[in-house]
Amino acid sequence: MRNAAKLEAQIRALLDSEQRRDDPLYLALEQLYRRYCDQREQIERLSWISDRYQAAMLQENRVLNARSEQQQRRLQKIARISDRYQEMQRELTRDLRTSATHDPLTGLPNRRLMLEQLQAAGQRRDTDFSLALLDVDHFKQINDAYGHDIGDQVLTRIAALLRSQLRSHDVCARWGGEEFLMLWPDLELSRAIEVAERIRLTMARTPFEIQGVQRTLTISIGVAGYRPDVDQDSADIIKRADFALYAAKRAGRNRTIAERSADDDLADRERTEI
Amino acid sequence: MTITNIEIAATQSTPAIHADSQAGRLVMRGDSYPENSFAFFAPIIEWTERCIAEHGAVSVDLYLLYLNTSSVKAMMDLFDLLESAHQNGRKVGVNWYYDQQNVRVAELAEEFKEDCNFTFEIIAETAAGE
Repeated sequence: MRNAAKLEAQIRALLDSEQRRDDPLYLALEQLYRRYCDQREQIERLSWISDRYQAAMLQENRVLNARSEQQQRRLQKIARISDRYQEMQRELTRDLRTSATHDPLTGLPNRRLMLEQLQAAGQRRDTDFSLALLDVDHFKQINDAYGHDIGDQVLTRIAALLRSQLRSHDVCARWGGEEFLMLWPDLELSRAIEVAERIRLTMARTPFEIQGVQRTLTISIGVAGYRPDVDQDSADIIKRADFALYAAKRAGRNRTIAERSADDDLADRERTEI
Repeated sequence: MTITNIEIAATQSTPAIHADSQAGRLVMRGDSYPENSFAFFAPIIEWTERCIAEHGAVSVDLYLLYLNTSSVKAMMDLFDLLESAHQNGRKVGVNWYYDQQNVRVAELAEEFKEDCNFTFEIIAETAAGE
């Protein structure tokens, strides 16, 4: 570059001196120099235009990028908010389902959910299942003596005790006032009677503190097992458990009574026939 | 007065709309998951634009519960409109009311509020209503 400037200066000096002006070499050099200057100017102009153009492109690119980032951010925000609305809706649906299928006081499944579970158990058909209807003995006395609020508290504690005696896939529902229905989806009658009896004993041994006074409560239980040959629907087995519960009450409460089994019926019939 | 009022009753999937040109007030109330949310919201956005142009001000009262994705977008369009009006010195404001029992709605309103520099109040109500 420095060499080029030096050469230019040299040529300009030569041309300015006007020595040998008539020499054809002088004329040729002068023309060549002028042409060189024109071309240099043209290149400078082109470079300037090109630079401006690039700067404009760059600026536009920056604007576009900013706009696209803004759009991106906006889309992300829409998606984020929308996701949260869906989450809210899902929770609402879940809460609604829970409140439609559970007892608000004890948090246990209600009749509706129990009937669904019973139907499911009946449809499986590959395993025996059993259920127990149980009733808290003389519960009315608690309500009468302490009022319904205390009575409700006691019911909640009973529900928790029952639940603690069951496996996670067993179902314990609040069937009515102080009546509970327990379902063992995979236990045959004889095993269910054992479990029910254990629950009855646990209950009788567990003191409940009611307004500073220790009280024990007892329960009566009627147990029934699924009979695929005779049970049309879940109402049949519940009816047999209800009969057994009634028998337990009649026999003096605080006891577990099983429905009469099919074998008992058969034995009776044979006895009569003889 | 060249802008007309808008009065739309709530349906199961669209909120009630009450746009009072005289008062410069827009009220939206209910759930929003319209089948065609562009068609539903376009007149509301347009009303708001004209209200700002003619009054230089608008106040928006929201009692919204559920919004589907396109309604979320429409609300953001509305807030963008209010934001640019605010930048141009217009007097705009949003009151987003929610039921005290449902704090999630307040959290969502908070998300909307994030990029807004105009007055945006999120107000708890003991019972849903005005």
